[in-house]
Amino acid sequence: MRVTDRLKMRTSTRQLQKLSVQNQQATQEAMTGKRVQHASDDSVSFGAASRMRQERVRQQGFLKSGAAAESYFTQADSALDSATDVLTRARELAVQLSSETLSPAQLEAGAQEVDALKQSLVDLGNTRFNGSYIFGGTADDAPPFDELGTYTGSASARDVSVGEGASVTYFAGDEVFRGAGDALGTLSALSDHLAAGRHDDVRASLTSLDSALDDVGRARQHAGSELGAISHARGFGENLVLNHHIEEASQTDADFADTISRMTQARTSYEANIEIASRMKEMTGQILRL
Amino acid sequence: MTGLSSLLRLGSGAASAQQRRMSTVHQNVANASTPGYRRQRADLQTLGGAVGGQQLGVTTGQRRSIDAPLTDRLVPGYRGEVGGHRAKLEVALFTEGLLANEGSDVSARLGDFFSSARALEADPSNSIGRRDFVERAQSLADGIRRNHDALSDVREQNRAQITDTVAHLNTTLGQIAALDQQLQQGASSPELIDARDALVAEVSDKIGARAVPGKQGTINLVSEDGAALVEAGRARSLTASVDAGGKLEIKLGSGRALQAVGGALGGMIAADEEVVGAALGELEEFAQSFATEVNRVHAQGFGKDGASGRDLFEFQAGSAARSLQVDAALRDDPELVAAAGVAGNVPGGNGNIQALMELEQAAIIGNKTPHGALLAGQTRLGQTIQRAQGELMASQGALEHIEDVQASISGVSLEEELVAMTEAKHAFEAATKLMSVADEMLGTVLSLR
Repeated sequence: MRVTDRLKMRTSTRQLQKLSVQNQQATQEAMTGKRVQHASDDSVSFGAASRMRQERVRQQGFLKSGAAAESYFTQADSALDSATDVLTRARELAVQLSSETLSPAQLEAGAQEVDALKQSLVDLGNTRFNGSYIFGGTADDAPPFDELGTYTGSASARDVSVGEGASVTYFAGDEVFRGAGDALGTLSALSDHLAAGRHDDVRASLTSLDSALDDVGRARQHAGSELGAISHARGFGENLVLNHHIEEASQTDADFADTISRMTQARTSYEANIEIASRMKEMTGQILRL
Repeated sequence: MTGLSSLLRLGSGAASAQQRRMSTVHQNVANASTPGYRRQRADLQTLGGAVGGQQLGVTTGQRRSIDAPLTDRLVPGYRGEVGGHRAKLEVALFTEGLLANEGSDVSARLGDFFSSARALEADPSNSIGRRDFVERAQSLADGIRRNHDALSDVREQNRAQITDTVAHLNTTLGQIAALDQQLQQGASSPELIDARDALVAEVSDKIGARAVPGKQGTINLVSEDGAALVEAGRARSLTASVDAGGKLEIKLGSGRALQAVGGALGGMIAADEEVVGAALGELEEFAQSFATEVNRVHAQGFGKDGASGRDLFEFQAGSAARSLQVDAALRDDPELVAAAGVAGNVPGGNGNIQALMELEQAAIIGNKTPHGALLAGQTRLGQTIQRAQGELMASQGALEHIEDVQASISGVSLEEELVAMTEAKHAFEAATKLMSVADEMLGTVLSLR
């Protein structure tokens, strides 16, 4: 093969172009830290990374729902704790005021305190969290208990997903405050018995109050159990998010040591080729001077 | 005296011949880097006998270019291939960049839509959550419409480029025909042929035509499917048009559509169908199927007003990607979002939102999930680019090799030219010496008187 000047020039230019592209690619990788940015860079890695990203976003959604549910149950548990205090105080009053030696005035004062306790319980039943009534069931946009303690909320409770296949059930207030023990009804009746001085009925109220305390206790157990489920789902979800993040990065991120090494190699070769091209030019000049 | 005159003529002829050789060397050296230039030779011929009759000595034949017939025939085809892959790749890379742009990323918007649905699931009564859900749905619709518009713009620009290329091709074909007419009229010169061949190379790049040698150095330029573009010094015009099915075609002046179009034009036409057309088709299928399915589920749920049967998205059938948006009533009043699955569970019921969320993992776009369908589109485009890059690299490699062989045969070697120059220079000096001796001898003879 004759080695003509055009051939030398073509070979040199081609080599410089290739090295320039390699250098540009390595520089781009070093600048962005990404080996794969588009499907055309590596469609298999891009596909795997996209699936990881979608799954990560999905899990992050679960974590957000879980965080909201956790706040809901924490708030509900706090309200239920207060409700326990209210019912415990009512029980203490019932025990104290069941004695037949008390004067009507003392019984009247007791009845007034029970009314106040009932009002407190209504207020607790109407506790709001983030703009919604936490004991309203699915009718959570209006107070679920009226002034008399009648439940106007929904009997349907809402299920909320907090993880893959994991959901928690929010409260419907009738189960808590108007359940088997009928806390609000029991307090109304207790107040009436005290005002009327019906000592036997006051004593009999203790059974209903115990039952009402059981209702609230069960609700607190439910809150605790759901908080546990949320915590478990969060731990699982956070691990998944981290793993998906790591897997996504492993598919798309550049290996810096490799990138820098390729960049250095391309630059060194580029400079060497420039030197060769310049010597070739020099030789051409010498020939022309001859 | 006759002998001395012959000697003088002999020297003069030789000097002229060497001068022409030196001039050819100068021409070669000066054009060593000129693209498409073929080195020239002025071969020496002995005078006497058939050449020059009674004259004796040496002369040069007509200056001729050194051709490489095999590679000269192969180069246009490979140039066309390279041009085609490059044009297709250019459109595909541009399209990919456009769709992967952060603001146009439909996948991200789809993820945001379902994330917002999940937030609404936890608190359906919350008006802010409902407003956010409607905005995310609108953002998804905007992203789909934006991508549709961007792809339509790319298609429009690509088609405008095709029209421009065809117009430019017609001009170039006319120029080739004009040069061929000059050659037919006997104006043969290496420069004319080089100029014509440079134009032929340009046409090959653009449409993948090949040149078939004709008489008197002329050519017939033939398209990939065998139609004559330039024949006997006459050019045929080309037009680009879109057929009834929306398919691009290149027609000859007579109205016959070319069955195979190569070169950059072929690449641009392939990009129109395989890149932009396919992406538009996939986007339309996604928009149509997704919106239909979301509407089906949404209509089963109940808004805060207790009513059901409402669509979440509105669009024109057959052009969903172009017209998709959230239903006007829901845009105005997000409380109408049908979150509850049962009328009695309004406003805090989330059964229908849960049903909507299930669509994220359901095969509702063909046999793919919404994310899967979008990813399949991105992957298909990426693989089209990878394939075009591979094909470009392969055909470019082959073209480079052929052009290297061509450069090796037809290119100028300065070392060779230096040797030829030295040779011609010495021969020229010898010829002048001969003339000087003859002149001296003539002087001596004349002084004898």
